[in-house]
Amino acid sequence: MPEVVMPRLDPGMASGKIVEWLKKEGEIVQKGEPILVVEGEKTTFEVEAPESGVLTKILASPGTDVEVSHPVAVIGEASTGAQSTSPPRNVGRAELSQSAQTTQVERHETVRSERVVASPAARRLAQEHGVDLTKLKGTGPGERISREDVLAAVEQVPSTGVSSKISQPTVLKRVKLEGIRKVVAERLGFTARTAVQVTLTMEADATKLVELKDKEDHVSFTAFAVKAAAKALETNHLINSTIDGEEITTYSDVNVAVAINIDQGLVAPVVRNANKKSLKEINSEIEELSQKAKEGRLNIEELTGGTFTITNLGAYDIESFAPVINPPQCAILGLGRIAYKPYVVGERVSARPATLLTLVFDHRIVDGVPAAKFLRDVKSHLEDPQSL
Amino acid sequence: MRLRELTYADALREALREEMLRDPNVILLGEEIGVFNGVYKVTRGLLDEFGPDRVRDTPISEAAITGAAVGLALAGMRPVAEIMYMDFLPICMDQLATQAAKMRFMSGGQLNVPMVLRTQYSLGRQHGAQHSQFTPAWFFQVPGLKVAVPATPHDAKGLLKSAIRDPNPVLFLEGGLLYRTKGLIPEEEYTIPLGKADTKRKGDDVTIVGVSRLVGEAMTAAKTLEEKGISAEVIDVRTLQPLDLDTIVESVKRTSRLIVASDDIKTGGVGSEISAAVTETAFDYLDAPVIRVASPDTPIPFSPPLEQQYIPNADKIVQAAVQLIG
Repeated sequence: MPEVVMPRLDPGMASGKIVEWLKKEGEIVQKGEPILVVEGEKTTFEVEAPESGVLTKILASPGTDVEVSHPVAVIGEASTGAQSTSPPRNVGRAELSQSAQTTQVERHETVRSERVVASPAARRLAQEHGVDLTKLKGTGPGERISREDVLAAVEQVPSTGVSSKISQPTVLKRVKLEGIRKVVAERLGFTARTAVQVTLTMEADATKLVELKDKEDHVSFTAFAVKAAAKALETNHLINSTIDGEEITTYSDVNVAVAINIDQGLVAPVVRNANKKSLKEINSEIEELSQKAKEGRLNIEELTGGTFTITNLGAYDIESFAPVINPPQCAILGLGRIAYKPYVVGERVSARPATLLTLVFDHRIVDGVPAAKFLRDVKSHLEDPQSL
Repeated sequence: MRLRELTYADALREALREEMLRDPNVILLGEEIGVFNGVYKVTRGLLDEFGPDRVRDTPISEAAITGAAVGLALAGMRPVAEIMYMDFLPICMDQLATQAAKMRFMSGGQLNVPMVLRTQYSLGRQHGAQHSQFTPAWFFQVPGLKVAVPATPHDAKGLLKSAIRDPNPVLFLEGGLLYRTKGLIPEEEYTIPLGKADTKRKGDDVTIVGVSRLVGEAMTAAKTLEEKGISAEVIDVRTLQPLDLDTIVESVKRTSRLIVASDDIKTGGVGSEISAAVTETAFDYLDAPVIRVASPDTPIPFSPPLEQQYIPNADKIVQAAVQLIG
């Protein structure tokens, strides 16, 4: 049953005075028919019935002030008569008519939908300034949220002691956190808030690795590292585990996730049972997973079940880095580039290819010594790649 | 710069006379323009000064006037033809829209039609439904034709000189109610380019684009709005083809609101086209719907009180602006 509410006649209007009721309680009214006269600050307006029906109840008598949007009358269905007492459900907005005017300009229909009524300019500004339009009250015609409403909201944002008048950097664009970006943000944020991350770094001699890589064409350093880590995880069980609240789960399967960068963000598909696969199998599986990732064809099976993660930034000339653990796993191995580095034996310095291995582990699951032992095992496997 | 006051009609006359003195190929033709000095006295004294070879009274045949102008232009002359009322343009339409406007395109630039077709609209003068119409939007559909709509004596002179010198056919639409309005005009020679709008007044809250007579009404409205605390910018399009959309859009980006005021009929009119173009170009800058202040979709009533109700004016522009800003 529609209510008739006090309309806003001008932006500054807070309340309006009922001047006169043109209809009595119990009288039949037609939609669009003037039913009362309201006085705002500047003008007197006739308020029209939002729906046809019976003027069931007048809630404010002439002379009283009523706040904007507060009900002044209830209109019931003609058949139900004037005795309906159920609370009003549909709040229809009264439409204004300025009867003295004979303008050629079309009157804008009052919008009744749930959609936020905001001008294109207001929407653009709201996006630029990160203003939530649903929290604003429009002061334009039909309570449309206008450019000024958004700018006023921007002015009001309680700043961190910095006046909003101080020029802010020009916004290029704002992108809602969604899709892969949202998953990455949530997962890595979760790790940062919960895991006790400790970083260990160790240099590995890559001389033999480079020699073998030259022979074993097309096998990537990442594939070698996956195999080496998988082999080390077979004996360092605690690293091959996950944590869930109060419980640590250690696995007999060694499933190594490999971080892959795609246009949309970061994914980490899983090489299952990597310890039981040959180097070539691992290498081709990583290539296949990368291809699928780029085409967006990875399935849930391929994206879940990892027990450990490897990430390689060597291709971007990164020396070493401490990655964030892929939750709920225990640890992650970050690979830097392979490059010639000084090697000191006794008093002599020579050069050899080497790489820095960085293990980040969750100290809640495992302590420093077992983690160091694991990393040393990875290092020895990589330094003797023939054994892989 | 020395200035003097001239009427719109005299400013047009000066433009014609100066161009006739400058270029012997400029000739005038039309009904009653010679012996009678023109119905609105725009051609006053020109027959005496330039002789009947260059100022030709014609029979009452708008098709012949326009067709002769097209032929003269193709033969290297620069004819300025006058059609007494804009209402008669349908009679000229084949020569104007199908011949003059297309020659250059269809000949691959081998032919030019440097003609001007002057005419006026008399809305507001109780001339009735057949002698009052303003139908400029028809010509949005005629590429190849330029359309000028001067609103002031100053612009009328400068635009007419440019129209005469232009190698393309130009439809020059004068405001019948504007002929006796006065304005300041430089002593020195000047021209105004076709296709450049003029911001007649700066403002912040709403842009009012005016066409012809309604530029003046928009200026009056802007003064009233100022008293209500609303700062209106007034842009005179000056030409409809080419339309200077850049100037309009630049203004709308600042004010976020647009009213287009034109004497033509609202549906499918000048306001419709400008509204659509601005919405396409600057949608994200609009803070309110674009409003057209225009004539109702009916024939124009002869009855003076009815015609006064009918025609757009400053009050209607003010109402639109107040409603837009809310």
